[in-house]
Amino acid sequence: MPAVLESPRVMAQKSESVLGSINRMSALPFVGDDPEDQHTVNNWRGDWDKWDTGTNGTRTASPGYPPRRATPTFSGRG
Amino acid sequence: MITIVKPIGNFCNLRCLYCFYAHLDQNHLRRMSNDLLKKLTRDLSEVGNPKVTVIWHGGEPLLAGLEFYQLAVEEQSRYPYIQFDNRLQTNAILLDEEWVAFFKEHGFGIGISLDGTRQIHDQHRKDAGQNPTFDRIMKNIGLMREADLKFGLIQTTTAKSIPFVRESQEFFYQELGLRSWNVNFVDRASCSENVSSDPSIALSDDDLCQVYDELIDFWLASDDRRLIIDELDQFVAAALGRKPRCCHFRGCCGNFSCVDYDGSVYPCDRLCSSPEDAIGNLQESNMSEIMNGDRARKFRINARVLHPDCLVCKWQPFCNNGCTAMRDSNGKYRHCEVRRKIFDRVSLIVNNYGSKGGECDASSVGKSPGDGPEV
Repeated sequence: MPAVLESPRVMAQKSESVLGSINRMSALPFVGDDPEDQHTVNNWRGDWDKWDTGTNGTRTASPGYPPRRATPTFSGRG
Repeated sequence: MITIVKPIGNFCNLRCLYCFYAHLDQNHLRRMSNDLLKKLTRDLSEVGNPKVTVIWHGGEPLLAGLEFYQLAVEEQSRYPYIQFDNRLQTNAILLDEEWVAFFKEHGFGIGISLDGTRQIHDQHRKDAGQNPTFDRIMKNIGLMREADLKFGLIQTTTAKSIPFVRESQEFFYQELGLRSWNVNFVDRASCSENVSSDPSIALSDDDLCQVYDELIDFWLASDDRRLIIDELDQFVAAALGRKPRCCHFRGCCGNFSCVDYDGSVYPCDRLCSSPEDAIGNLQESNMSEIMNGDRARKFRINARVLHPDCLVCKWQPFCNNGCTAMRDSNGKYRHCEVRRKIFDRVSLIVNNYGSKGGECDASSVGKSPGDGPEV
């Protein structure tokens, strides 16, 4: 049985690697934070963030949501 | 937008142990025609997105020849209002000073396929004459370093890799001086579908847990804020309640396209081995028409189907049933159990930072999916 399944190991000492990752990922929006980011299968416009709601074919600006989306990345084969 | 382009299809000058395309024709090199390359570039410029990322892939994309890429950048320059971002994934065997100078001049992002230290890499990645390739690749990596051409790396892991995972990470970090790379996995289904010659190379779920363990242990021990192992970043994003960036966590499958040498368009290079997977052909219609066509739409609908287990899983918004190409016959992500364990483990690690008031400047450390906004 691999260690992960038995007992998660948690480092007592802080690692700069984790802090770096936390800082990078904290720049991303929360899941569900931006209703415009909810996707449908209609009206592909070349980018994830260009998908509209599938209702009226347009996107509307939402002042409450700053443009802090990150470009999705593709996981390719090596 | 992101599109993967395979100018010579699946053709390759190596014969990797786990090759996903070994069952396909490796005897005839067919290259995308210049006319098709021009049409593809025009189509991409007309999609309506100001930034287009082209990932040149294969097979081995350098087999298309330098003139092909010279034409590609020349065509791209016809559309100055579009920002083309070129990336290329290569086994580096054919790299030389001329290629390096070209990539440097035109700002290509280069990804090298290297499976770790010599011992494991040469077990995995041999040329068509069954000769090892590690030394040649290291020599050509030296050319890139001399020219200060930055590069990333993808490591593919199999069951044979397990004893070498940690030393390979150390090698990338210490010897190559890399601070960013990613790790891919060859699993049982990859083998039964594509490799079959040596099923023992497939990672079981237990093996996969072990690989993650090694990666996480290295990640923690390296103690370097600059280190990015992309796969682990996705788990950290989830632990913070943030939307992961990578496609097989984010649930954005169907947003990308993969164009083969003959103009066939597929949803992804993980789903391009069979004509049935094609969603259109650029010789018959343009990219926007294909991506908005019925086949693409059906693919996107199917890709978004969750398994019933997802509906009661707290990690669902961060996993989205994993990679579409890696689902079992019941439509469930094949590594669901492993992924849940890793979500839990990384979440414990991340929460530990928040609860002890570490030096991190992230305000949301410790925010679990359950605390996040409604999805």
